[in-house]
Amino acid sequence: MTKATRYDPENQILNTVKTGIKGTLLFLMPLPVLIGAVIHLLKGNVFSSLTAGALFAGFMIAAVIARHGFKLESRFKQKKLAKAPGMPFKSLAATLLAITTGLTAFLLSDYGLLASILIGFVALLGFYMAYGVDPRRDKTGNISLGVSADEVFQALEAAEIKIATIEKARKSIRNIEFDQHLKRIIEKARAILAMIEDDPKDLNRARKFLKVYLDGTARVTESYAKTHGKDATTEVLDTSFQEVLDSIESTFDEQREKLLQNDQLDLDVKIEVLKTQLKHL
Amino acid sequence: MPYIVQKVIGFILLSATVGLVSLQVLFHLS
Repeated sequence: MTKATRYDPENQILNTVKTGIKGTLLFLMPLPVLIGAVIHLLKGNVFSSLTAGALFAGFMIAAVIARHGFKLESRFKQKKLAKAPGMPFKSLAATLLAITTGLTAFLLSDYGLLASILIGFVALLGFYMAYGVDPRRDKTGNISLGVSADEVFQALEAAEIKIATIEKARKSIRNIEFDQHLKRIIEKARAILAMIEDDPKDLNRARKFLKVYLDGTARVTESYAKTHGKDATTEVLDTSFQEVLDSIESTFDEQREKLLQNDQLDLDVKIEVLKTQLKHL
Repeated sequence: MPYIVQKVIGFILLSATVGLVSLQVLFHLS
């Protein structure tokens, strides 16, 4: 058996999103159906047992889809700029839950067809009232002329995936010094992304950072982590990795400074324009 | 309708349907 896990940076990011106990009720409420399935089986009612098992599975699938929807929603809410989730997972979960509830009422609890449909609808309504609908509108913040919303979303998403790669590599390097250094670098990279989120015009100025430096950092860290994992690191390699990290950190600092200075420049220009306007009044 | 009231009603409706229907599966057995 290999220990290798599938490389899936987008899910790695999503797995770090905490939704707490939200959605736990959806897993707990259908438990009696599972107990029912077991009792039916013990009584020898194979068909009823299979029906109850299938309906329980339906409830669980709805709960899992809902949890995924909650995670996407919570990540969407955390970000200043974000694309709305492509697939309405919460609505999908609500529909599946409503159908399963209706079927459970009809097949296992002896409700009539009309009453079962009504129960399904009430469950759907309850879900929407309790958990809300999926976010549908992109959060475009103050994206202005010069950059398109899609461009900003794509650049930020790609940068976050690279940061997740660095983070994953950091966790596999068991060296306190490198660990602290990489932590600082990740924090600085996140700060630069936050600046771009605040003012998407910065994207044009930060393109080189996002494409070249962040990518380079991810590649170097990943390959060092691989060598480290095989216990094949040498003193020379450690020293040069340390040097690379130093220069990466200073480049990140410079990039941040550059963005801040440009903001200052923007501010200066605005003040000059205002001064000219005031003179002409 | 205030958000919290809407949420509470939502949870009541969910429990009254999903919760009760699945409990009735058990009652139906006995």
